[in-house]
Amino acid sequence: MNLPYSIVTTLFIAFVVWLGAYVQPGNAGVPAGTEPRAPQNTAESTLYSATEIEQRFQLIKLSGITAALPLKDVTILWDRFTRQERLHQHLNTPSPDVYVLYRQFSEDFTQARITIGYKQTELEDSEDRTTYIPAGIYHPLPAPDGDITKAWSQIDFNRKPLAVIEQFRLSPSGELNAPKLFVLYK
Amino acid sequence: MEFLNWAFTPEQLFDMESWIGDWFFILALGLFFLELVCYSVRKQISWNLLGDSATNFVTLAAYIGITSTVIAGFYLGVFMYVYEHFSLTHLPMTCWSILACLLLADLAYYWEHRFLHSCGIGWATHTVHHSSPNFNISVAYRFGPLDGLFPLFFYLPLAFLGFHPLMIFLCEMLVQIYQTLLHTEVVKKLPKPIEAVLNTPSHHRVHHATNTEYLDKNYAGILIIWDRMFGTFAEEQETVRYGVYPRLNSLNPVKVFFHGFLKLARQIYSAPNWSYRWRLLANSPKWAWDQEQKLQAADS
Repeated sequence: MNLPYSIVTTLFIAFVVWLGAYVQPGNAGVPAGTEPRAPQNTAESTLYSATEIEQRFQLIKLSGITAALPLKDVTILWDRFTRQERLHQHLNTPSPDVYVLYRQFSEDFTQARITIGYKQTELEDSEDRTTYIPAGIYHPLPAPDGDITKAWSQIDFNRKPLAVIEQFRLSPSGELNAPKLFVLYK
Repeated sequence: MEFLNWAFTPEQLFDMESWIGDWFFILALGLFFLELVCYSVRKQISWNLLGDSATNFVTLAAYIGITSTVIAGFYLGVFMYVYEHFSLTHLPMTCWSILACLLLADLAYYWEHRFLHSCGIGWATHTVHHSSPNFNISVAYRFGPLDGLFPLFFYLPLAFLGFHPLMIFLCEMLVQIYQTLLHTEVVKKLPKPIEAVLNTPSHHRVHHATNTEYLDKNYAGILIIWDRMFGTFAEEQETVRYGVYPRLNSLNPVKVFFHGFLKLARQIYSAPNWSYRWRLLANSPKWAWDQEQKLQAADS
């Protein structure tokens, strides 16, 4: 095969492989395993206390807004999120879940890359730019009296969290209810 | 097959890459030691071989020095910038994506490798790797000064396609690791189905040969099918003679590391005009060799 044909063939192969990656299960059409689920009786689950019920998030795609911020400034991002009229208008359910994803923490865990958004499956028209919730076994932490800060205080930062997820149920009146917190440790 | 849907964080990919890279180096040193034992048993070991191997590791240190201080930050920055601002999409960091990325990284490796053999500027750095008259695991670590730069141009399109830079680096490293294992004379031929699809020590010996019929053949990283497809494949038949022409005949690591660029600089300095200088950079080393032969013939 001469050089021009070789280059054209290479481009064709690259396109086919890329297309395969693009339409992989979970990335197009109906995402596979998008619902958090309790794991099977795996060996991993015995590593932790019996009161912890690990949850595995797989390929949950969020549409929302992202910023690298000090954790104490997350309210700024919440303000921006509430002003995302276009995003809220595309909701296909009256009471969706709102996710707050914290990842790429600074060494001292005072800053992180924070995303606030909806699951794409709960939107009629998803944004092109999406954020993936890192898959893995998450450890739920209880939020007594619905106080999410009490859940945060139970995070073991010595175990180097890779990601923290806050999950809220948004009521039709705009209130955030039923807070849940999940941690993915290194 | 559920594992294919598992996704990773960038941190996990980075940890994976570091872990594999570090431990593979230990494994490679172990394999090199076994090769030395085999050479000893066959009474083929010599001070020259040991000196050449030591030189290989010195070039590795020099390569790491240049790459980590000059190239790495720039390299990562460019990849992240393209991924954040110009990528078609952001592909999920799943095993599916890693498999696709690995396949494309292997294809990119083929073209990068072919490029290094096809132009003067590429050959100036890559000739270091080929200049050893021996063929063992240590030769895989014989690097030239700019070996860390050229992959940028061939792997960057993967960031444009939406693969995360850390995934690309992981796959780039996996291809390199596979390549490293091919540098051995201990393994002869593998079963035919393997030789048909995968790159093997036999195929890679051909690539390091100076035998005329083996020149510019077998550029593949993991899959030899790229060479078969693009017409650059040759089967190992006659005994391979390793090295480059003209022979380097030196164990001096400084000379080994820089000899390609020194030679290119000398050629450029003594070139008759700017057109010729440009061709020295862009044309194949064989073109430069042919020109030198013509000049010598004319002089005599």
